[in-house]
Amino acid sequence: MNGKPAKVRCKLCPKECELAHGERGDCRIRVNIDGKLIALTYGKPCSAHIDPIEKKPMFHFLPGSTIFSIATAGCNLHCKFCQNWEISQTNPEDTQNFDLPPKSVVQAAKQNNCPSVAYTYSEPMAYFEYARDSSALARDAGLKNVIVTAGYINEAPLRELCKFTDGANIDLKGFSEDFYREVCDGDLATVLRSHEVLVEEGVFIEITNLIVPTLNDDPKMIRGMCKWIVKNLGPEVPLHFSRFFPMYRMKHLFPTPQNTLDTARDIARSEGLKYVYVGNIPGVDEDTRCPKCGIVLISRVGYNVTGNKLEGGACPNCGNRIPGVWK
Amino acid sequence: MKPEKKILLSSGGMNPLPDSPGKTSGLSPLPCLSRRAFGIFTGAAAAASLLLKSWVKPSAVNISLEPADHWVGVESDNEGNEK
Repeated sequence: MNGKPAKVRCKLCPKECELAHGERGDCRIRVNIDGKLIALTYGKPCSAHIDPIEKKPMFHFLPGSTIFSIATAGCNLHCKFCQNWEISQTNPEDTQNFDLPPKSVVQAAKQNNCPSVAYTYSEPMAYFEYARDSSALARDAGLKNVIVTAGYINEAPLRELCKFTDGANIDLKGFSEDFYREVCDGDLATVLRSHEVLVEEGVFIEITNLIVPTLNDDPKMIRGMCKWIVKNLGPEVPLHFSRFFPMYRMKHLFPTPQNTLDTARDIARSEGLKYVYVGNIPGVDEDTRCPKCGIVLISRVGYNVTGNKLEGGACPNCGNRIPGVWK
Repeated sequence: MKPEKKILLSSGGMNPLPDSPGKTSGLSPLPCLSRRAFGIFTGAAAAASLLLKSWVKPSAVNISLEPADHWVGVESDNEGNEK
């Protein structure tokens, strides 16, 4: 050794950034200071809101409830279409942050009558320690935890976080390695593995696929994705196709046409997926129907639940059990 | 004993896109919302945001220095090559 502080290698995500003293990782929020890796955003969220849980979107998880939602700056992916790029692609020194340590997260959620906490907006895997410690305290306090994630994380830390996680909305941004590499700066294999790990660990998951015109709207790609979900996760996993609006570095593209979303929905259903939703177009395919008898079980308008007929998590008409976290 | 200070937060939803933390400006991407409705929507959200800022104090120190987990030290020789 030459007396300089040691380099470190972050083992949180597959990028495994090797950092000399003073350098920060690709996520912007993990930095080597004197040979130790430091989490810059622990207890320092830049966003804290009370959202309807339908906004995550989670449609099979305490429907109609509010969820205390936090995020810090930073993300380990760099999706060119990111809708939250103003916080995800920014250093934490450049956002207006709050003092909200884990115990205050729990306090705020309870004071505002939120039965659950979401680690969301940017990427909870990047602010891993903050999300994990807040989740542990929240669970002790009787709250549920939801992560909204791209799933780009190494398996060991993901399994650690799963111990305290009840639900997840995980992105499947596309179904090709080229797409993940060129548009998101990640890789598909890791993300698929994360889906499997969440299910193995007993976390209730819903999947979101944002359809970006010309980039991931190929029906063959969508069909391949749906086949993979059915085969590896099961046909009962809710899938949300979400409409893209021009954002960040993709402002030159047009919003996703409705017929593209309709086609995707039809493909998913034809592959056997039982709960397929279309997001970002209020009034279209927002209701939960019983796949056995067809009646509407949960009706929604936008983020509002306008009716919920479920009885003990089952269809009142035919008794079919609907997957989800209902209480 | 002093009562615990209540932490009051905004209702979110300033940006109607799924899972967005909210913004106070910009046009609605949702065709179903009229300009007026969207103006009320964002105006109410902005007011809620002001309320948020009056209760949850901005951090005087914008970053934390908490130790992270899941990392290893990297040994290197004098040439900087990893061993």
